[in-house]
Amino acid sequence: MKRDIKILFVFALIIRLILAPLFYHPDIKSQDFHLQFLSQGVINIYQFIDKNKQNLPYRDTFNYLPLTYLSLGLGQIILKPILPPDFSQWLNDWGPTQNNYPNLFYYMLVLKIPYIFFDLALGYLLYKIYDKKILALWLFNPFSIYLIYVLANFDVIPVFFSVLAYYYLKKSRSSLAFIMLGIATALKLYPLLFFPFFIFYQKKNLKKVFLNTLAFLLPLLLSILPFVFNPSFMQAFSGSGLSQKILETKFLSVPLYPLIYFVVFIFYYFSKKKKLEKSFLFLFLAFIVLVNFHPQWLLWFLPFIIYPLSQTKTKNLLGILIIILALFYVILINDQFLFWGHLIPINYDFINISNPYQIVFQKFHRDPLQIQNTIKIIVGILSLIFIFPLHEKNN
Amino acid sequence: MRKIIKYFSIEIGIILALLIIVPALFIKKEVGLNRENGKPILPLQKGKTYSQIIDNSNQSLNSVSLQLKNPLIQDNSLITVELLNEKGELQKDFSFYGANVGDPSWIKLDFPPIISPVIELRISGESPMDNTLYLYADQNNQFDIKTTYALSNFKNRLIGNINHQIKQFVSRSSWHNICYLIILITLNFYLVRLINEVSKKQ
Repeated sequence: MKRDIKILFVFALIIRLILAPLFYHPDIKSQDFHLQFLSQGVINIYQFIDKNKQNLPYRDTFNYLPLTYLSLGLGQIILKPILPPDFSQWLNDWGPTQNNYPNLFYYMLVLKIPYIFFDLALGYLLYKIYDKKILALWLFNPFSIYLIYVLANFDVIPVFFSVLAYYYLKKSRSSLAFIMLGIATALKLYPLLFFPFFIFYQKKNLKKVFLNTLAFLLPLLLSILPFVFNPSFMQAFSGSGLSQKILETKFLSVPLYPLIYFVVFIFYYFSKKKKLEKSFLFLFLAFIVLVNFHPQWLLWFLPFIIYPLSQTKTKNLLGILIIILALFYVILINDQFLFWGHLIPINYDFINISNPYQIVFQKFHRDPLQIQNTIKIIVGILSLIFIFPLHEKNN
Repeated sequence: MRKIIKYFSIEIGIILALLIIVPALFIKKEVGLNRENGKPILPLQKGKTYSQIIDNSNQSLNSVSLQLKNPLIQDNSLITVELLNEKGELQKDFSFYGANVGDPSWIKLDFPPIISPVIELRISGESPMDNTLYLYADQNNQFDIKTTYALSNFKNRLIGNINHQIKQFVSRSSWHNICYLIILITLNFYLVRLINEVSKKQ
């Protein structure tokens, strides 16, 4: 590796080691609460929670896939020796003192070590796919740092595998590419959105399409097969957010996001030059406008859209503006842990500061939901600037 | 050398901003009491008054939150909360209706800092029933309560926060503290070496 690239990675690592322990989100605790049961020999977490719900200090279901539980649970077992000794006590404390542990700083640091690994590895993939500029943009843009280390969800892991899939796809190693995309899907279902774009990236060959689909489905089928006939497993997924949320915004009873998705896909399918990144940029823009997204979901698209957004200065500025608006939308959600609550490893008293939702509502007497809708409209209008060149090209 | 300073100033800037400046700028009150293990057992029925003594030795109490329950939000009776000093003189009073109480919810009452060292909190209701509006408390009738205390000007908050960060650091696992610092220092040395090597080549 060249020395200047090494400098970028070492500096990025230092920044991450400084920032990772300073931020907290309850999602990381709830996930790790469930993951701890793997070290106690629990394989079917869905059934275990269903049976023991009444005796557990945290009673929510585990809403992620089996591979997520098994792989992240194994990660927790590996990390356990370097976690502070009161980690288990904190993990099982859901009372009023739950966030008042001085070692919260180190729980956050250690639990985010896998994120740091996948984040930097993802940066390396982007360097391999594109260039040093994209690498630097990935490593030092505050949005990915916010989405990975502040929101602290594990999405960076499936995102890494989906970018790895794209890397292999570009290298014409399609079987490997679809196995990687399959692993990403077995961790979190969202790469299903990307699958049609990946499968028609190369020349249409029915046999290849069939084999690649099989390679894609393999990790998912293998990992869910032992659980699929278990009612607790099916129940845990009945409340899955993404499938419901992408159907929410409708016009004349037609769900708009699937419609836009279909249009983008049709353009992509019939285009000679398969510009996957550009298609994902459109899906991302439509996602912000039409889906009531969870903030960490924005990370799914981020590594793919950095390249088209960095092409010109105008697109760059516009992209930054849209992402800032998306984050502004996020902080207007009435959740203390989407703003000041993140900072409790620094000082627990942050929990008592009014969040932007409360300030807008109580001091300015405005409905934050209305502001959120306005943000979506502004993003929608700004998005048109990206859409017109596509329209021109296809004409 | 200039490059090294650039990298270091970013690191130190992040640490200073997040650990020292931001808390001193935005945390203008600190948490006092934080009790919430009670149950809805004290009915806010007409004629019943409940009271509790709050320690205010740092003389800056500026908010009190109580947990109340209005099952199915059916009772719109008036609820009164009074804060009195050690002589029984009224310092602050609040009135709100049952419609403002959730099933259940915390009701936060903000006010300018009170300087009396001991404060009596009194709560009474005008509900005609004994099962439609409740205050949360434990078996000893200790209310579910949260209090906050105002912190003084920026300079004092800054000093207070530096002390707080030092206290936090010391109370963390010392083994982790040592390892964390060693890793950060080693990485920075390695960064300096890499930057020097690149500069020499150029």
